[in-house]
Amino acid sequence: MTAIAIIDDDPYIVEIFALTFERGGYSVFSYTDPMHALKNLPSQNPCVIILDLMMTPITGLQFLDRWKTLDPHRSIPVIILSAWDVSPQDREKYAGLVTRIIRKPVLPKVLLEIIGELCHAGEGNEALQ
Amino acid sequence: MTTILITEDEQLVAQDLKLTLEGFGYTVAGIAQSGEEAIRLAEQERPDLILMDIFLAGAMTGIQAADEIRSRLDIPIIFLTAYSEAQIVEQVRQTGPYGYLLKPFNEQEMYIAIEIAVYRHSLDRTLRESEQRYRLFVEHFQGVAFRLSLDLNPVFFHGALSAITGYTEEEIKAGKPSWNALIHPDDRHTYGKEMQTAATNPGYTREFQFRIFHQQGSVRWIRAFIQNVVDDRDTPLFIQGSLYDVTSMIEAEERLRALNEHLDELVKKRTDDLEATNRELYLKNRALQITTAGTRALVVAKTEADLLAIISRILSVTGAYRGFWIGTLDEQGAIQSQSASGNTCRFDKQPSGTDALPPCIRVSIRGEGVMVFDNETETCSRCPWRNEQGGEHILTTRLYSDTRILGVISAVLPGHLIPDASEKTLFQQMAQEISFVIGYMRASDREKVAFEQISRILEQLATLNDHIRNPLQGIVGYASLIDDPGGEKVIDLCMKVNEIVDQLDKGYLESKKVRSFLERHERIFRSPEEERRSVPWRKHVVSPSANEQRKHP
Repeated sequence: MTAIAIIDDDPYIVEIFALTFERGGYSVFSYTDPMHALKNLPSQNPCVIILDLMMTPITGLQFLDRWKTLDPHRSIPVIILSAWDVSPQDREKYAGLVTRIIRKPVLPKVLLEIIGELCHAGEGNEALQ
Repeated sequence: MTTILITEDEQLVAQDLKLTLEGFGYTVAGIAQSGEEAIRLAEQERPDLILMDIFLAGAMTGIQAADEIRSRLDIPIIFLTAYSEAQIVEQVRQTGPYGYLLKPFNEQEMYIAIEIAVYRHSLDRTLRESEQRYRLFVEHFQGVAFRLSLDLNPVFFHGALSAITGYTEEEIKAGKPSWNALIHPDDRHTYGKEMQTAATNPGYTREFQFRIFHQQGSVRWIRAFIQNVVDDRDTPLFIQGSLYDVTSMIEAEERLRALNEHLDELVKKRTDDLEATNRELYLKNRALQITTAGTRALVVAKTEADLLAIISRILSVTGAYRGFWIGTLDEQGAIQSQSASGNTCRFDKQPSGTDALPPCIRVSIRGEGVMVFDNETETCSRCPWRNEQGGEHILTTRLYSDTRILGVISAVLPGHLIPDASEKTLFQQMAQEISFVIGYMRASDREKVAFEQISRILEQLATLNDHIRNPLQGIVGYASLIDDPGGEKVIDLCMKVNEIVDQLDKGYLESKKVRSFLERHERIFRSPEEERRSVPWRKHVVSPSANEQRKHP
């Protein structure tokens, strides 16, 4: 089953998206602590990572800085879902690491459509191999 | 070879003469039988001598023909005649003959007469030519040749005397006027001395100049060459010499000298002008440096201590002050910041209160305007300036705002500057500018507080944004999970709230613009300690972008 990872320090947000994605037919790895996500995610194989920015003890961007060493081939697309926008400087800096930046609040069905495109394409590639 | 024309109407006599002359080795140029023919042949043959018979065939006598020839040609004539009557001799004499031979003459007499005539004629010619040369020389001589007796009376003047003096030689020699009277009174002594020396020293020569009055009243410059002429026993005979009118030369020299002087004056004036311009430029530049020191320091200074250090450096380097001290006072009158540069008061320790300042500075804090102290002033006796080299005067004045005294400045003037009105005005202007700058910097503390407030509001806005959008996301998420028309309404409401939050974002962006303006133009920054107090993620989550492409449905 295709898996989606969600990282957000707000447990309610994590819970709602987990419910939403499961309804959409995905399995979900959910994390409220980005440090925990860094440890655990490499052993998982999600087709996409949904990432919040304003978190503690590290921010979403700090998570990305570390994650790029764990996933050097950028095999897993990352979607930033944040109440805050990303500054033009940071957009440029993280362009290679981030597939999409989405501002909260987002309609779940819109997010599912985006995930569907990303994960379906990923499966297609796998099928070809 | 001497050629001779024979004028003789008796053919036989003529031929006899011809043979005789040729026998002496003369050449006979021709034989004329009449006076007319003699004139023609003389013109044509140009003989060296003519033998002329007085009574000739034809209308003319020999005497008439000789007259005619003499008037046209320079040929000596010897008359031949058988007559010696007094009347005829007298007529002949008047023609200036070179010889007179009475017939019958012997050959030897004729030969001697011819030789003497030719020789005399050549002598006459030489003399005439010499005279002519001499006359030409004298006529064209621009000067005067003169001779004076040893008692200095004029013997003669030759040459351009009348051109030089306006009087003839005769008038001068007659003493009307006398030569000495013509000499310029200022030069009479010199002239007399020179001439006296020349009169008494054998062989003495001298060249000198003096002035005379021309008849027309103008003054002429004369250059004289004089010489004491002696006999063979070295006894002075007379003084001779020459005088030249050198007035035009002297005038030309004078004009040249005047022109040179004028040029020198012009050059000097231009040099003075340039120097004055340079001085003015220097003073203007210095004034500019002094009156802008405060503002220039403000551009780079971050703190008041910084400001004072930069001001004192600028003023001692480009303000030409030998030494400079500036200090600011806090509201209690204690020294807040201070800076010194150049040869200034070197306090042993940083004075904390005004009591520790030299008296001249303390006085200026209490008094108004610019105060001037010199080295010997007792008020400044505690100030080490008085022992510093060069510094002659000390200017002090206080710095003040509308409400209170901000501080005090003092400067040591270098030796070449005097504390005149303009120097004091400059100092006053500088003090006013520095006062303003200090006031401005202190006032900008209040702006810093406002800046901090803006920063705090921005943080709160950022937090608020997060606190609103996250719950909104939760509500939208839950509402989406519920397949219910009520859920749609909840989502609509959430999106309206979201729009309000967007408005807040815009306000946030405007505030951010204000803050970056303050940072850029007013050089206001958060203090490092404020920076530390802010939430850790603040610097990472910077701003919502105004151009963001929203993914709202």
